[in-house]
Amino acid sequence: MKNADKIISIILMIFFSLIYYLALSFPPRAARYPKGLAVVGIVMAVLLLLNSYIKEKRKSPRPTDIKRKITNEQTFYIIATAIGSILYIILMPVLGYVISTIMFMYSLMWVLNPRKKMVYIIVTAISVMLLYGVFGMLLRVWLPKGLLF
Amino acid sequence: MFENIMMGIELALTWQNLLISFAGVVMGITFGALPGFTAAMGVAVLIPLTYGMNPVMGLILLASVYCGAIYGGSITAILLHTPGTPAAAATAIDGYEMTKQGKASEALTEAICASFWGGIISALALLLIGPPLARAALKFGPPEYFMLGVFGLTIIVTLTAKSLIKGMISGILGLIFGTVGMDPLLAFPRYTFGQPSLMTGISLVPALIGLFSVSQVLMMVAQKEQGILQVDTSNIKGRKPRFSDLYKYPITYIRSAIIGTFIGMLPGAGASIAAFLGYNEAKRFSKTPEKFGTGLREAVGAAEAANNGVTGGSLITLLTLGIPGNSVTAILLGGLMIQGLRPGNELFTVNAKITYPFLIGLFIANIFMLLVGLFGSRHFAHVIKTPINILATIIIVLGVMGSYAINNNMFDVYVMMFFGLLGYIMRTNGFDTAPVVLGIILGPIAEKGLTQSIVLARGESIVKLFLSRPISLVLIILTIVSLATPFIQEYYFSKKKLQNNAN
Repeated sequence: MKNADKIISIILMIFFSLIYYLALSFPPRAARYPKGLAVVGIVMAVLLLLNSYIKEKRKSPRPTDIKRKITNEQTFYIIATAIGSILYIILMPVLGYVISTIMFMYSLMWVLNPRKKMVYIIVTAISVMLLYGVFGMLLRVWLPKGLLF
Repeated sequence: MFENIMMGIELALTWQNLLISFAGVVMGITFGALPGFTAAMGVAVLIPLTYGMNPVMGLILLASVYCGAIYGGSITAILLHTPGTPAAAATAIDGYEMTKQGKASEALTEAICASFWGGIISALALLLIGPPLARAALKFGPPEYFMLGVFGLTIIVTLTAKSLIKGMISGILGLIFGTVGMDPLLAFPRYTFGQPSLMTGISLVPALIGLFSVSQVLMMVAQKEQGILQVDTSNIKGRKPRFSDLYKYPITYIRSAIIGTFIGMLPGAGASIAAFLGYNEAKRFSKTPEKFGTGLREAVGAAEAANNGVTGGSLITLLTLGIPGNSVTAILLGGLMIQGLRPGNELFTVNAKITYPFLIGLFIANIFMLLVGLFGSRHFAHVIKTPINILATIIIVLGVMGSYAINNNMFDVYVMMFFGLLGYIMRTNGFDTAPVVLGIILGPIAEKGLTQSIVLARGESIVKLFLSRPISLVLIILTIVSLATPFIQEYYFSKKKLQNNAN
């Protein structure tokens, strides 16, 4: 956990420095506020880094860290969901709303638990019909059409 | 004001509004009962449904979901010791003990009756305090708005974060996201990277859906075993609700509801804090405090009246000052803005035809909640059986649709996904996402207040300007108090610990 804090504080320092750097090209009056925020952010990130070192020293031999262990299986589920969702929204303008949603729903449910295939088909069909009906037809939202429909 | 209330009743009581309120309550209770699903997530996912509705209907739907979800958490807390929402954690203490003693249906009845009173009393407070407070808000100038923004942020940082540094970092990240778009003085585009969609700032609703719903889904799929929890409803039957259940502990209800309303008004303090405070105060005033924790019916009522008291209270500050008291009202603010409504006095004067029916709708929502809860609460316990993979998938699809449909724009969907991943990384590393949301909302308010104050000070010291105005002075003092609270608390607790050790 504390190790993660170190990495995060370094990423934050880079991020806040970037915010400061980008603000240099703004007119002075528009730059003042984000510059100030970036400076406070950098200070906080440094404090977080120092804090993680202090805590490490204070309770150094700590084999029973409270951080719950994430199993490989769980990591797979999280990554699958994240990548699946990203692919879904990237492919939506290409494939169209209906096709991409059907593909996404069925495959994600199946990847997370490949058992009740029939249930997934029914859930997918009902969801897509409801969503398309309510938003596409009732509320007249112009959904991405894609190659087919 | 009386005419406005009468008009509100007239406009709110249409069959469409009643139907939508009923549906909202049922959806809200379902969301609340699902462990891992919070009220904020429910409202965020359902917001797109309101796009096509008239403002009154849309707002009544959201308020009904809000009330239902805060109550719904108590069902699984009582039956399974698994609070459906964090707000029901205090309910679980005595509620589950009652279930173990075979008094589950009594506990469920108590929870719904207390929730009803909490909701009604806080809605009444909103109706009475809202309009005068909104008029008082007219006296707010740039310095006051700046200080309000600063106060709101400090309080959320000190109240929600486990670590003060991490809370501050979350808040600053939110403030930085709030600077995206044209600056308030020169309209210079900041951090837009040539994206026209970013000119007016980061879209609030997609960011909220990402931070609350998508990040929650990612956390949920890791623990999908939850879906197999067995619900034993066999011992819930056998007790019909009686009319006397409604007024079992009137003093406790009123005390807890007032605590809830007040906590709700504070930015950052949510329903879970209110519930624990209500519980503790009931224990303090009780003649038999030792019975708390052993399955005491009054304890369930004390916690539930307090957490539902938050609903009306949090709307007070949202509708009058535009400051969301918690994450649900932050999303409701998004719902208001989609309807073209701006919080403040205007809401109670120019837009009275929308606002008052909405306020009356809050009463209707609580009445429906009581009816649905009394006669159907045990059925909601079954929703916990829904497999997580199906829920997770549906939530993401709804979130994508909600983000897209605001502006018919794919860019907003990418914004949602960005904040979803960011929220997940933050939450798994001990950062709270609520300060980010508040930062995005309060940042522009605070910056505008500050830059206008500098103009107002006309070259003189800006500190003098802030100290010379009574309201801003009060806000400065409140900010200092809220910043000092964690340190005082720590000092107090360590002293108490020493005393306990000495004893």
